[in-house]
Amino acid sequence: MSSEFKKPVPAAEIKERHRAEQVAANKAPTELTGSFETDLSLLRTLFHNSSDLVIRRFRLPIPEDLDVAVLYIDGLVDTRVVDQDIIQSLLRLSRIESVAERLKPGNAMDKIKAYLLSAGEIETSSAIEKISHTILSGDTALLIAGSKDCIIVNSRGFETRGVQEPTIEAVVRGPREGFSENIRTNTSLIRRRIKDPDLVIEAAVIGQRSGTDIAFVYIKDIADPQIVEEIKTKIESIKIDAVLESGYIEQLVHDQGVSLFPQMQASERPDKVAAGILEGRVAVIVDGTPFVLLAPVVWVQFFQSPEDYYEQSQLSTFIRLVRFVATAFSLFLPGVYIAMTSFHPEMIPTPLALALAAARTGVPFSLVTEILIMEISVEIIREASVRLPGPIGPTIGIVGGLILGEASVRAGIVSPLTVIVVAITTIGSFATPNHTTAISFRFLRFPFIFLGASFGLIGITTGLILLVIHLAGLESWGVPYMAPYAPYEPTGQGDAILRREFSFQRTRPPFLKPQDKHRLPRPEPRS
Amino acid sequence: MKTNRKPVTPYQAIAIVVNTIISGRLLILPRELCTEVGNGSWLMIVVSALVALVIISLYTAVGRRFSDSSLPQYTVKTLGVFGGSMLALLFGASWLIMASLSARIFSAVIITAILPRVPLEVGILVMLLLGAHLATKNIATIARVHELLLPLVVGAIFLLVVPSLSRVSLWRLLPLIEPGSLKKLGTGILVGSSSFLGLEIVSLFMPCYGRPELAGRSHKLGILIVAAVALLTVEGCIGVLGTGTLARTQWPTLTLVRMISFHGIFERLEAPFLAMYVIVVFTTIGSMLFGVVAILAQLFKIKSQAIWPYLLVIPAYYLAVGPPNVIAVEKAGQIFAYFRLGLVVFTPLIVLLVAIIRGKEDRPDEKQAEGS
Repeated sequence: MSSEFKKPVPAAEIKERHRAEQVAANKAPTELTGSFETDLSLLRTLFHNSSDLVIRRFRLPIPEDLDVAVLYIDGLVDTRVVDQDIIQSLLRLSRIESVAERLKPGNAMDKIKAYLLSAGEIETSSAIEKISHTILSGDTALLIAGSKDCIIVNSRGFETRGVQEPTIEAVVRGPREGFSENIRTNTSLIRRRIKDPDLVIEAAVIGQRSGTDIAFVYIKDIADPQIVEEIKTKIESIKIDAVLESGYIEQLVHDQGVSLFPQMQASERPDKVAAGILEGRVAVIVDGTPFVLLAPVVWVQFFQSPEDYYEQSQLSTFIRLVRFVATAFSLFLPGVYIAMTSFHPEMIPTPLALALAAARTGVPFSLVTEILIMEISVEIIREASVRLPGPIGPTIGIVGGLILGEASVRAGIVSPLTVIVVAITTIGSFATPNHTTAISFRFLRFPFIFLGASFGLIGITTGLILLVIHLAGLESWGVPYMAPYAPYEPTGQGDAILRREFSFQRTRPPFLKPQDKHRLPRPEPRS
Repeated sequence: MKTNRKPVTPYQAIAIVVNTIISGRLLILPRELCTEVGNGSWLMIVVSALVALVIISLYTAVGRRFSDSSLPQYTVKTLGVFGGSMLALLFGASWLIMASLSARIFSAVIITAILPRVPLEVGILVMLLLGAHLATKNIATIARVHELLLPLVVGAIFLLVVPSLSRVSLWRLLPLIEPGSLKKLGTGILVGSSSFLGLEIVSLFMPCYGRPELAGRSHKLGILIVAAVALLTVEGCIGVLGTGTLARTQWPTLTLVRMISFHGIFERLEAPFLAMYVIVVFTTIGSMLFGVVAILAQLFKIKSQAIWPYLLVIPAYYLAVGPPNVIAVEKAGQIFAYFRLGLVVFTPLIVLLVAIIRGKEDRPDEKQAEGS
């Protein structure tokens, strides 16, 4: 009989529901109100009844029924944690009499935390913004009737890419681990390399809409506190709706006017970032991207690869010099080639000059046009092979490079030497370990082509002077970009263009102003 | 971002001295000296270097006494607002003229030797604009630019003069001192000392030295490097060309370079040599224009120097295209150099004297000296 009738809803509850809807509709409060129904509908309206928001209400049978609700976003949470460590443990443990005795509506919050929740990481908060952010990050909110606070349980467990081999910064010798998109995985990758309690990982959130988690990682007693503070305040003061990749931060903190050179170094290699942190730099990890930022940076750093430290110092120095030569080729070669052949043919030895002239007979274009045609085609091929799906990419490289070059020479559009020059230039630009800098240099070779074509070698020098003035004026968080060469620091020379033996690198780079200056202890005097 | 008020390091001080002094003048210096004193040129350079050492010590002494002021500030402090400003403006004017003459001479060399189809005016404008671009930067940047370019400036000259030394015939260098040439010792020293002009630029950089106690050492080292480069160039030219030919060669250093070749790689080297020489001339013009900018900025209390230094290119350009030909430029340059030498020598003397008599000096700030 009784089942046919619904239990009448008490007038008080109807009133309360009504009030809750009004509160939710009128204004967005910043704190939870403490009334269970109001808070619940408040959170529900906050998420606009989103279909992936799960609200599971249940009651705990402790002396009197206690209303409890669990809120989480489906897909962001580890359902095992929600089921077992929250719902199941609440329901099961609350049946134990000794526990139930101690629970009163007034102290439910504390006792539930103390006796009923088996989840590991919990915290309480009543700030709506914080609660919504944590729910959206994959945590589970536990709302308890009669309490103004809400318990937030860490239940993050979304699908992520695992730790894989880094694709951009490949090395022959060295660890094969790369950062992934998950900020926790990334911090753990650094933590595992530096087991030092002084390694500080500080969290922050930027992006009003994206609410992106970021972490500043540095070693407290090495990094210069002033630099750390400056990096933190500057990045935290960024006002933007969303930060989807660390490149956003890299550009937003750039304060040196127009420059092609980055003020932070992006890396997807944990060993490289760990080495940077150990030198006194600050790493900025951004959730959602495998590219971790390192700051401050200096120019020579972009020519260094972690591998340099794993091989013999003499070999590494040689390889570094090769990289510099390659970069110089990628920057200057086409411009110098044009300058030499069009303006200063007397420089070239006579047999070579004759060969050049012979090769160019029948080519209808001027040398600049010829070079530009080839350079632009190479850029197109490069861009196309990046966009193409994996297996097809290299094919395009071969097709583009070999066939296009060969065919255009046969067709008499370009001379063979131009193809050689452009090929060396392109290959040279891939030898720079840092992707951003490589693109900068590739871009800068076009101004040098025009300078070389207008004023010969004089134009090239003019461009070089402008580049030097620009680089000398750059600073990265107060650290001169051209350190340790300008200003010259003798102690910094162990690891710049040369890579000396470790016994020559006893100190950390002086331009980073590290608190703990020594990497290696001083050698003991021989007796 | 906190900026370091005293960013200039001792090494940068050397670079500033060397880069500012070594200029397009080095292309004609061997001829100028040789026409005066013949084989005794090496002696003139040694004596002039000693003179230059004395002059730069004067500037160092004044700079140490007025540790927080640059040239226009201490001339005003010692000689009063009007006299001091006038003297400072005289320095500014001399640097502006120096910059335009350098641009003119070098541009003439370029269009004669390697770029015959480029108009003279374009060369002048490019050089002046490059210098003005440097002058828009702050002092730390300028010091770093000098530091980065120093190896190129010195290296370029050594690299190109040293291979030609194999052609030196020792008998051309003899006798070491021509009999009778010592009568012309006075003019020789004047010509030689004027080739060290530009050293007065340190008066603008000294208040920004991070370690002023090392200033004297850096300055002297700078002068010695310049002297070594000049000695090498002049003796190289005499040894290869001989005094007779040398006196009739317009740009002996360039002729020297023309004679060397790296067989199989490059046949003739004047194009790369002059391309490197752009850096040499640029550092001088840049320093000079920076000097003009610094003096104007300090006298008229102009805070920003972002755009207006480019305006200096206009008067400098008209000064540069004024003389009808290279010979006229050189003559004007020589007379102007003597006037400048007087200015450069007597200013620190007067300032130092007045400062001692009137008891003027900047109180050294103990903390900063230690903190740097």
